[in-house]
Amino acid sequence: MKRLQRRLLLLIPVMLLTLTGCWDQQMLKENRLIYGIGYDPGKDNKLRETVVIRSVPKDPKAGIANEIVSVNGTTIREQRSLLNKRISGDFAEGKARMILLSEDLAKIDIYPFLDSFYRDPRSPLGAKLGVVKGSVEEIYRIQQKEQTLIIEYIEELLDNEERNGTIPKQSIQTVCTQLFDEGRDFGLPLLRYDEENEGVELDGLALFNKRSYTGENLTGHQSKMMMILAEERGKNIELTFKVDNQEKENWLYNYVSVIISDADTKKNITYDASAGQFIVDLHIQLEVQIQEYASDHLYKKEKADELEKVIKERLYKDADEVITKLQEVNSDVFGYGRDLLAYHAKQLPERELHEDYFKKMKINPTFQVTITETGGIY
Amino acid sequence: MKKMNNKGILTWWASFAILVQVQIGIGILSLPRDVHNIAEGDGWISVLLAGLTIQLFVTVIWLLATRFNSQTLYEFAPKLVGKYLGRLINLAYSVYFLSMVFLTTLLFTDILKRWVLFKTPHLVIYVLVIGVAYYLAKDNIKVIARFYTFTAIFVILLIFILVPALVSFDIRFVLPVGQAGMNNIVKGIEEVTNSMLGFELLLVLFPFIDERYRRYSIVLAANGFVTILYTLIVFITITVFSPAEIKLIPEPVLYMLKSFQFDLVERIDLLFMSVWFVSIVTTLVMYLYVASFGITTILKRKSHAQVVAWCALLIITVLFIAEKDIYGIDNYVQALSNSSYLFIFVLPLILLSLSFIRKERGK
Repeated sequence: MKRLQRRLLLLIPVMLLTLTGCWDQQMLKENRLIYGIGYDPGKDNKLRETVVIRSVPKDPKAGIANEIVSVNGTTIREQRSLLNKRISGDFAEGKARMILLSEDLAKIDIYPFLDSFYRDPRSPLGAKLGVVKGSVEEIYRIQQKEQTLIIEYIEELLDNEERNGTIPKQSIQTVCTQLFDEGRDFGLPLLRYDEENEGVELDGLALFNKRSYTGENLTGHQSKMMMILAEERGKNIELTFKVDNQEKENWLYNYVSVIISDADTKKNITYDASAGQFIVDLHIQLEVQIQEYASDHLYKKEKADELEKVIKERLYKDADEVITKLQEVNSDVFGYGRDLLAYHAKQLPERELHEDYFKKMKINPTFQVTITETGGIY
Repeated sequence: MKKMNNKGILTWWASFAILVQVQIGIGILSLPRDVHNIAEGDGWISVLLAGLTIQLFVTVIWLLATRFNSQTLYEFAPKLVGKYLGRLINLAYSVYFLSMVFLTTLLFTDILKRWVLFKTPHLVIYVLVIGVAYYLAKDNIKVIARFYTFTAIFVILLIFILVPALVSFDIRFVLPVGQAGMNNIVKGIEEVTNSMLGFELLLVLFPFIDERYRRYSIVLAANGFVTILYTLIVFITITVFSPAEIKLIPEPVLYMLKSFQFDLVERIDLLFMSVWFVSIVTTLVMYLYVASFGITTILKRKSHAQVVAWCALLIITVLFIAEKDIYGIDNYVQALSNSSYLFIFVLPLILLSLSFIRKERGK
């Protein structure tokens, strides 16, 4: 027994010293948590980086606040060291929720801004990515919107629009998969400083080709149309159409708002050998609920049929606009290139996708609309 | 001799648990990328075919082992090829098993350092990992088998952790099937076999399995299980990342887990690593046990516990002086995977044909 005790006496200090794991601790008090990162073009060919730091005060009653720091530097790494000189504590981006890029930088190439995130195992791959019309710094300097801090405010805004089906669900990781996929492009939310309300506004979807922003955007309505066409989201998207031109004074009567309760899309890609062209036939069946339609009531079947027909025409017209715009900038947000590689590799020249494969495709959407509900009144 | 008493004590489940957990090892974390580099979207077919190839290897080992029913490789090798050559073979196998311990620890530490413990010195991780392996390997096979039966739960856990991947799944990344061509698929098999090593331990472990069970069924079930699990993991990983992306990621399985986000938990790659550590240790323990068992036989010692300690020290020393940059590690991997064919296939086949020619068999 005594021998055991003596042995333990020797062993315990050794174990205590070796098993504490003190090399890799990251103390919260020593780190400054970065919640948002933004890049703007600076003066003299430099980059301007703005970060939003969450400061947790020692006194719990004081509440949480933001600290905004901006620096000018040449490379992203240089900026990190410049930032470290300006903040107390270590720069920790593991909790970053938001990365915003100014449109001028996004037009060149977005990958260099993301590279370090993919490399560092501690980085947050679920952070959201966005393009800003104008200056990112201006947006971050809002600090807080009413009671909500700026990053949470933008995040909630984007989350909400993702749920509504206005923009596709994206994070740094999903973008990475699409950045490296030659058969697919993507769109990122386009944000803008809203002077009137001193807030942030979602201005639509910024279209990308390969790694760079094309400069073209889809509006919110077009973006929803894109989501329906892409089969990404059908349900619960709300659309408003102008269905009439008659009322001049009471122009509100010209509009109908519907919400899609069910969407069923059939996609068929065929190859037209004589024209050397791929043809995509999209057959989209929508069941809609009327949300707002002031001009008439739909207790007559004929009236409803007529409205269905008009909505169908509007849908086709809008879809056609969206497709034309996407093909103009060669942004294959539908991922049709991936379909071609997967199912039609034999018809592709040398089994590879050409640069302009998407431009050359012919996309024919057809719609079928049924009004299933009209709400509390006809 | 005491160790003779242990022969024939492993039940069906215990042997199955041991074989499965020895085969599942460090390789799977990087396997989807390695195999994708060669066989592209058809990597999963390579894994299936590799499972079949390994079944062939295992059958050779099984045939050899059943001829010497209650003897381990270390005991029957001298009988087949003579005393000195037999000792040489035993030594070669022991060194091979030890170098597997070395390589697995090296790879695991490398991953651990890049993903979790950035600042912890290499030596500390070596000592902790090998220390755990030593603690178990110094005991007899009965104790080890109990541990393996218990940790089999973690293997099931590994399957569940992959379920969230089904959300970001794009089947088009593996289509059309056969895109890489038969040639590349076959080449991919080689890559996969390296990640599924462990079955060769059967050469030594076979006599410990209870004779009353149909022993081939255990071997078949274990290899089948590992093959299906690996195919599943490779298939899921290839369909989550786009082809150009996966080429850039050394450990796609961890990377995939890291990108999953839930409301409550982030970074499930870290959770996975903690569970995964058990799988690594189980591989290490068996290799270390079998290697020191061999050295014990060569040195004609009675107990293997002391030998295990010396082996552990030796490995830590070699690890300490080994090259630790990614290209150096790659050299070790190449060297060992090339020489492994000698031990998993060539030597067993030679021994088997010799035993037929010399009509030598154990009772």
